[in-house]
Formats: sequence, structure tokens, C-alpha cells
Amino acid sequence: MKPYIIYHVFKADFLERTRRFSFMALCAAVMFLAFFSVPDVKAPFVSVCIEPYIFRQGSNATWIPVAISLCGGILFPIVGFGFVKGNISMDRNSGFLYACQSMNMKNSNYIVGKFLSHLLMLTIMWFVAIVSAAVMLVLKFPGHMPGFYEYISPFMGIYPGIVFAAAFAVILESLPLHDRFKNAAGITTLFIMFLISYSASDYSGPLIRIMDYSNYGWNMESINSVVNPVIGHDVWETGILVPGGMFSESGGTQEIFFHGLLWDSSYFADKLFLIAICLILVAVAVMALERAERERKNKTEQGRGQMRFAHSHYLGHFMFELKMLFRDFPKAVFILTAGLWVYSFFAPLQYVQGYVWVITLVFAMPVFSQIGCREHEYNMAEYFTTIQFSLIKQALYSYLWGVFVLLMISIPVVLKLIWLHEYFSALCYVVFSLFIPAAASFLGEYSKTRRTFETLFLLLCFLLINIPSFLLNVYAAAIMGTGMVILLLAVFEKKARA
Amino acid sequence: MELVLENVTKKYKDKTAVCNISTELASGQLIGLIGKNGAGKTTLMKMLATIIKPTSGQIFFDGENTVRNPNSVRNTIGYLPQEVSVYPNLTAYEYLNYVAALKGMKKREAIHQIRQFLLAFHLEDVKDKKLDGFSGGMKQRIGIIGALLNSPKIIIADEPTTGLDPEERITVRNMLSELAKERIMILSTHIVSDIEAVASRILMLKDGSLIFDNTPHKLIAKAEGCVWEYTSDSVQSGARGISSMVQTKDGIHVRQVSRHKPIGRAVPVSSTLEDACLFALEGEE
Repeated sequence: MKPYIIYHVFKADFLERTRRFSFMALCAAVMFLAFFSVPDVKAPFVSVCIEPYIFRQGSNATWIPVAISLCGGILFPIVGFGFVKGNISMDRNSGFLYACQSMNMKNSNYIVGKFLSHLLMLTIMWFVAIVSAAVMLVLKFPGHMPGFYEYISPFMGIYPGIVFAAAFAVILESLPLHDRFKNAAGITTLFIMFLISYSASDYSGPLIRIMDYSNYGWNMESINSVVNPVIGHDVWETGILVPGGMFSESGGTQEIFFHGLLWDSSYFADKLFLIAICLILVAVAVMALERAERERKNKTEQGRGQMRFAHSHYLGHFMFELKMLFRDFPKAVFILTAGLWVYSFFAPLQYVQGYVWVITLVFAMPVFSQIGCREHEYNMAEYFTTIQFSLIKQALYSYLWGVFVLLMISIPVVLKLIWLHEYFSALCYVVFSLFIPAAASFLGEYSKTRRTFETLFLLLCFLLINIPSFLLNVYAAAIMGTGMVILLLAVFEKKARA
Repeated sequence: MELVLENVTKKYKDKTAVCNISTELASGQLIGLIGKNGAGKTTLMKMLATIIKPTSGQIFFDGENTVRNPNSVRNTIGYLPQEVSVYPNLTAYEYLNYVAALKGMKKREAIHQIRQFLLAFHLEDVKDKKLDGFSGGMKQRIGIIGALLNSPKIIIADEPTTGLDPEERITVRNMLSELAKERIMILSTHIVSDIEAVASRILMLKDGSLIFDNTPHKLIAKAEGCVWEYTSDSVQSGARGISSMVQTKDGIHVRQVSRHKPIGRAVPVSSTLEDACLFALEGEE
């Protein structure tokens, strides 16, 4: 490895990415997160609440770093991964990667440079959060600054997760997989890893502890060490990113002060292990890139030379849209999703509503996230404009198939609810199935990328895991029903204007 | 069939990409659109293909205003963009099936046309391969087939021969020439020899304005007496209108387009279309 080559790969990538508007938008979003993270049970959306019937939420300065750490522990790696990934694909698509290889540059220099660029971008994002939190302290609790360790240790605890996101993006980019699949697979993997940490009641399992990139376990143990002496047990009632109103009547009055991360050498060792795993991932990425490029070249050569006369069928536009939705969907994930779906018919309703249905939704996310943006991502929109009504038909058919797929996923829950005579709840799931593809169409059409939908969809899934009843009320149904109509009208109006 | 442009202008914020173009394009001729980079060729092509609307002016196809009602002409257009975009995970056949389905073609006709074009463009062997592994030239041919499906009455091809090997280029331009018999065929290219081989009419754009609209012979005639050849030890840096420079043992053999004799020993030679284009675009007229 040559440091000056690594430096130039790093510098070029870093400048290219940070000079984009999206990087500024990301930093602004992080600032917003820092401001929004101050717990307030009366706010429309609550970042964190801890035993709200006992403690006054966000009552002092020590809450701020803890709250940002709990929210940022999950959001920073996932959103950060979504932002940094794609730079090797970008080089591959523009031909720059091949130009680099023709210069006999070693893959190790290239990968390490890219990894460092990822890391610095995410570190800036993390640093913005620290500074924004300090600003929030001054604004909200002037003259009541927490101690340095109390303030900084929750942020330090989530940093290894950021290193993990940077390394994970590099390894995923280097694997010989399709770009669209990489994106969905990466975000889904990070999300499921977090869910495992979040729902694991016992943190003694070494693998779970090490792979807890969000630092949820250490954070909660530190919180419990303060809460337990006051109420006599660990925290029972807690929530991260929950809708406002849930705890608005809680009225806890007791004051509690946090002391940052409780020093624990075993947790510290876990973080060092996580960083070591990140370095191994980077090393594996070097080898994976070499193999991926070899396979890609072989594929191109085969594509040019091989003779095949397979029988080809013809599909009409409506059926072809279904084929397009599932074209990139990995068979293994399809089988897994189908298995979960079948299992949903036999599992208890509460379990299906709270876990199985939501996990099935997460697995099926790539199907919905392409609705509305696929033609933009592949630069096909302009071409389709020249074909009469094709954009409108495409939007309509993809939406209808999206509704069909989501209804199929929700059928086990809907049937169980009908069986229990809970007709309104069943209707809410149907309205949800009509709304989500409309939201995907709208976000895809206007953002021209699937990331926006994926981020919001995962946030929604997170809410559904926390509070399965979130959907089942008149307001949610009314908002979704009205939203569906408005979003679809906006999409079709734009398509018709093209 | 007739495509009429009336004072078509397209302005972007601080630039006029196409300026006040009026002309009539009829079927049965292959119209070559030439001009330097940034002359407004792609903007004009996009306006004809109804992708963008002119800032002012109108375009009529058989009397129907395509600016006001673009959908009226869209089922008659075959458009090949400058950069052919495809869904990389589809096979060639699946992609063409998709385009045919978007165009609303009937199954029998679609299968027939796809097979016919795949054979004509030598892609039958790779029709079941994913487009991801296709070379630039192969993707270009797939794009051309996509544009030709459903027998469009107007074919708008933006640099269709770019990236093709010489044999493919000849195949493509001959096919386009063949198709031009009953259609309005507009072909934009940088390769003058392609235009020379097939175009019966040339539209030349310079800085967004139409500076020539006539047959290739008329364009060549404009440069007659203004093309010179000579041999020299060196060529003055910044000399304009040089269409070729060949290093020989006697010195550099130069071919230059100029209204005036460039040096004393220069001899006049007959002009080609390339010389004439250079003559028109360099502003020597």
C-alpha cells in the first residue's frame, strides 16, 4: 500500500461527495436531529422517553447526549450508509475504476482510500451532531452544562457504529452483486442487526454485544444504573422515535440525572472488537473487488460470444410491470418472505402484527422502493416520454401491482382480524396497502431515487415494531386514505405534464 | 407526411440553444442534422421528439400542433437518444419486449418485429443475455431496434452510429436509409461520411441558428474553389480551415479550406462534403 496513492483516492472521493448538495442536506438533517432529540412528551414526535410516568422527560442537560446517542445510534449508521455507499459503483459506471486498474493501481490503495473517505464524511456528520448538541445545551439549559465525560461518552459509544457503516459500505460495494440489491441488502441488514440488539433481553451473548453497532446495550445499561437505585428496577417503559400523544398524559415528575456511559471494560472491548471487524471487512473488500471485477469482465466476454437460442415469451405491459418489480428481487429473500407469509397464517395475531408482518414488509421493501423512480435511476424517463401514455400507464400498473403485493403480504393479518370481527382494524391494513405504493410512487417520482422512500419506510417499520397499534385508529386511516388520493394525483399530474 | 417547424426557439436561462428555426421536413428523405458540439442539435431533436417544449414557435405534424398536444404525435415517433439507456438486468429480448409493450404493440406483431430486427442487427445470438454485459455498440443497436419498433412514421436518431464499428455503422446507416423511403427520418451525427452516404438533405446548425438547409450537392458546391492542397515544412499554429495534415517524406501535405489562396504554391482541388461542412462551420462563407 502506498500512502500518497491512498491519500489521493481519499481526497478525490471526499471532495466529489462533499461538494454535492446532498452532503449539506445530510449535515442539516443531523443538526435537526440534534435539536429534535431533546425529549418532550408533548411534541408531535418524541425522540426518547424513559419511564415517562415516573420521570420528567428531558428535564435537565444530561438528557441531551443520552437522547441523541439513542436515536443517532440507529439513524447515523443507516442514513450514513445510505449516503456513502455508491462511490465504487459510481467509478465503475463512469469507467474511472477501469482507468485506475489500467494504471496498475493496487485494489488495496483504492479500497482503503474509499474507506477513509467514507469514514471522514461520517465523522463530520457525527461531529456536527456533537456541536449541535452543545448548541442545544446552551439554548435549552443555559448555565447547566454537564461534565465533559457525561457529555462526550454517549457520542463516543456510537462512533464504532459509524466506523462499521463506513466499512460495511465498502465491502458491500465490492461484492459482485447488483447495485440495487446492494442498497436494499445493506439497509435491511443494518436494520435487522439493530432490531436484534433492540429486542434482545440478554446482552451476554458475545456476538450480539459485539455487533450492537448502535450501542443500545451499553446505553441502556448506563441508563439502568441511574434508574435502578431510584425506582428499584431497570427501565421497563421506554421508547425511541415514538409518535407524540402516546405519553402526553404520563405526567412523571421525578428528576433524574444521567452520568454518561457507565465505564465497563467488557463493553469497551466489544467496541474494539467491532472496529477490528471493520478492518477485516476492509481487507475482505480488497479481495472481493478483485474477484468481482474478474467476474464482470468474464460476463462481458461471454455476453459477446455465447450462442443461445432460448425460447422467449412475450408479455403485455401490465404483466411486464409485475415482472419488473420482482426482476432484481433475490430468490433467497423471496423464499424467506414467502416462508414468513405462510407462517403468518399459523402464528398468534399479536405476534404477526408486531413482528412477522413488519419483518415481511422490510424484506419486501425493494419491490416498493423502485416504484416511481426506476425509470429515473436508469435514465429512461426521457425516452419513455416519446412513447404515448407510457409513463402514465407505467405508473398506474406499478402502483396497482404494489397494492396487490402489499395486500397479499397483509392478507394473513386482515383475515385474522376479520375472523375476530375487528373490521375497522382490517380496513386499516387495506388502507395501508393502498397508501404505501402511492407514497412510493410520489417519493420516487419527485426525489428520482429510492433512498427517500427506503429511509421513511424503515422509520415507519420501526414505529410499527414499537407500536403495532399505530395504524389502527381513525386518524391514521383518514390520513393514509386522503394522502393516497393526493399523492397519486400529484404523480399522475406530473406524468401527464411530461 | 410533413413536419413543419415555425420559428422554433428554445431559450435556457442565459443561453439561446435554438434560435428561430423554420423549415418543412417531408417523408421519403433522410435528413442529416450537423453542427458543432453545443450547436443545438440535441435540443432541436428533443423538441421534435416532444421531450421538451420550445420557448416560442410551433411544430406541426400533418397539421397537428405537437407543442400543444404532444400525445397526438407520440405514437408515431421512434426516438433514439444520444446516450442509449437500458435496464441492465433485463435480457435484450426482455428489454425489447418491454419497449414493444410500452408502445402497445400486439403480441404477434411485436414478436415478429423483434425477431426481424434482432436478425438484421446481428443480435439474435445474444438476445437472452443481460444488457449489463453488452458492449457500447451492442447497446446502441438495441436502442436503434427500440426506436424502430412499431414502425414509427418519424424516426429521430441522435448520433446513432457513435460507438459502432465500421461494419455496424454501414449496416445501421443503410437500414436507416431504407426506412426513410416512407418516413421522416432525421439523423444527427458528427460523422460527415455517414451523412454523405445516405442523406438527401442537410440541416446545418451553428450557435442555435439554421445556417444551411439544402441538398449535400449544394453544400459541396458552396465550397468549390475554396479547397486547397499544398506541401509545407510546417503549419502555422492557429491556422483555420485545415481539414487534413499528412506527414510525408517531402513535408506536411496540407488540405485547407479557405476563400483565399493560403500560400503561393497551394493548388485548388475539388471539395468534399467534409470540406464544405468545415467551410460553413468555420465561418469562411
